[in-house]
Amino acid sequence: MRYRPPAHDPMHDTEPLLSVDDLVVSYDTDDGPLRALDGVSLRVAKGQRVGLVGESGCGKSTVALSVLRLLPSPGARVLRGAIRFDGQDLLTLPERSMRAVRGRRVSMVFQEPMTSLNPVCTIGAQVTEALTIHHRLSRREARARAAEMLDRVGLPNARRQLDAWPHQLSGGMRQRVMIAIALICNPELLIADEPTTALDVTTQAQILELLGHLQQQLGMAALLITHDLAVLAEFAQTVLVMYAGQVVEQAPVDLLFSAPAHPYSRALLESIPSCAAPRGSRLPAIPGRVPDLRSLPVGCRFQDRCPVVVEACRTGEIPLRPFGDGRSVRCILSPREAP
Amino acid sequence: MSQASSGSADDRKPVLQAERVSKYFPVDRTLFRGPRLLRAVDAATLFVRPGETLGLVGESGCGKSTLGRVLLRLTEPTYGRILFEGTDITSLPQRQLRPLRRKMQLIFQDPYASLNPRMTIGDAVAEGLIVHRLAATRSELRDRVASVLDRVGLGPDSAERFPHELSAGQRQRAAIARSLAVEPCFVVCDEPVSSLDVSIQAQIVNLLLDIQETTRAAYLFISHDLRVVRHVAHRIAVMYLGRIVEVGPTDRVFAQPLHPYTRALLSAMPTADTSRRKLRLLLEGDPPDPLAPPTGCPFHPRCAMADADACRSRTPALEELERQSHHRVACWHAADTGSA
Repeated sequence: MRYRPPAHDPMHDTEPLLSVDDLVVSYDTDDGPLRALDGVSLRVAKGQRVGLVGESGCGKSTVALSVLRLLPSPGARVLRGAIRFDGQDLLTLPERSMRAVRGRRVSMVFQEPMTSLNPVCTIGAQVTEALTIHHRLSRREARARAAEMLDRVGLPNARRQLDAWPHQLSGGMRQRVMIAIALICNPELLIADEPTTALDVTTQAQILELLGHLQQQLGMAALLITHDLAVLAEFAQTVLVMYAGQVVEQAPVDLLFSAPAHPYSRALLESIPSCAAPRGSRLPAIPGRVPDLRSLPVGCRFQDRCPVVVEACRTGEIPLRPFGDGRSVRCILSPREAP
Repeated sequence: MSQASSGSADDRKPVLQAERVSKYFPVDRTLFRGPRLLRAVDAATLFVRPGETLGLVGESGCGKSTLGRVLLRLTEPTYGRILFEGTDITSLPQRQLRPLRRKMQLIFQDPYASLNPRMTIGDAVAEGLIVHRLAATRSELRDRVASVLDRVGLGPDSAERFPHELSAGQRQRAAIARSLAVEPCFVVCDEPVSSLDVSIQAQIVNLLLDIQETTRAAYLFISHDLRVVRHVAHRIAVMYLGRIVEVGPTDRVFAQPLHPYTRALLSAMPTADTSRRKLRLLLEGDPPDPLAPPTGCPFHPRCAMADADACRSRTPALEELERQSHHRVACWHAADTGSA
């Protein structure tokens, strides 16, 4: 049942389905503008599973919202960069055309199945909504398709659940409904923002299995956003690690987990309690905390928490540099030089 | 902290003991019908020794937080007996319970909700010291607050701060300082790191371990994150639908889980080690409705080993399979798995 990542990285040899280039997004706050994203680039090829990982506030959800053009307005501004989906520039697309993309070609699963469903609409109404908007199906046809989709995401008694209300379902069931809503129009790209964070471990395992299964069956691409590295190990083929608004490492999943190159990726992996560490031993915690995006240090943003920091880290902007093994790292020490 | 490192004999005696503790909530009472009973906790028996951490795991709604609150008598038990340092506190009047309250504390999951937003961190920490009259003078109070804040890694200037001025990790440190200030010997940690980022989680786990090492406090560590529990707990108890279905030394339970539900939980644990990805034992369906629990073993509708006979009709008791192993399980088929 496990989905093995393919041996080659499809990211570089095919035209990407989604490409984000040098994206800079700023939020207006009481204390002035805050750069939530600073030069983020990523690519998702057709049928590929990409993971985006980082701590809260690193900008990972902003990436998702930017792609779907759901950034709060006013309040957020895209200052630079481009987002291309299947050849179209999403940033300059008129809202009318964007609506044909959103929910139909690119859809999203949000973290909170409790609050993302409308409590005063039946499950059926919410699952069929996208169908009637995008495909102009009759009510009867839409209901049949919805029941089929709910059945596919593993909701028992799917046909009867069409008339159920969100509060009658458990958290895991609600997340299945969210997934059904996202998939009902056969999107080419699914963005899932912390789809399992609010769920229990056994339910999380069910949902991840389901997402992976459907992703392969429908041949869509997936961008999974999470703070849990272990979840990505299960799901993604390529992983991007974000820190303070920047991508600090991008690597094939096996490489990231076996030999993380950026000190932050390494520290993140080490701070997860592992089977190997003796009980009660102190975990290798990352000292300090994420820098304030309004007063960033000059040079590397991880410098104050980095165990291998050198003088050069504090002087200039550190670029994201590609390495031969299919990954890019934003660190002046190469993977070989870093201990 | 009085009994700190005063000898191993003392250390073996449980700080807290619960004997067949149950908590039933009446729900759905109508004019014509009596209430239905929600068995949030059903006949839970456990103990915690000084300096020991008992991990309590289970999925949301299984009753683990209710059990934690019942043990502290923040919620009154329906049945059963709770002993704190040998004293039966099950029906102790609040007045006599108050001096003992100092020794039992609770750390919540969400440090933002558990700190008063209009109180400075210093005042929040001082509150317990004032209530329990642990500082004779104003200056002593100030010194003790400063030393506790320093102990949890917050600078002295944080005493003047309000909760909203701190990061999530700092807020959890403040909440820990508040519990720690009154020198408890039993602390219920209810998902203390679940709302924190991974890198901050490690800091807080380390802090809790440090504190336990010096104070010999006993922890009941409630969490749904098995990775964290495995790291901090000496023993682990697994709950399902209000019942403890397995309890034992952590290493033993992880190496040789006896209950099918424990095996499913362990198997569902995401692993960062890509080379160890394995075939997953997926549980079917959701936990049953606690208002209409299944007859017999509560796990039987989702269990692959369930038979039509014993599992469906009789509730298995928590029993030690191997003598002296301290590893107990409530499953009719545990003997089959144990030997397999």
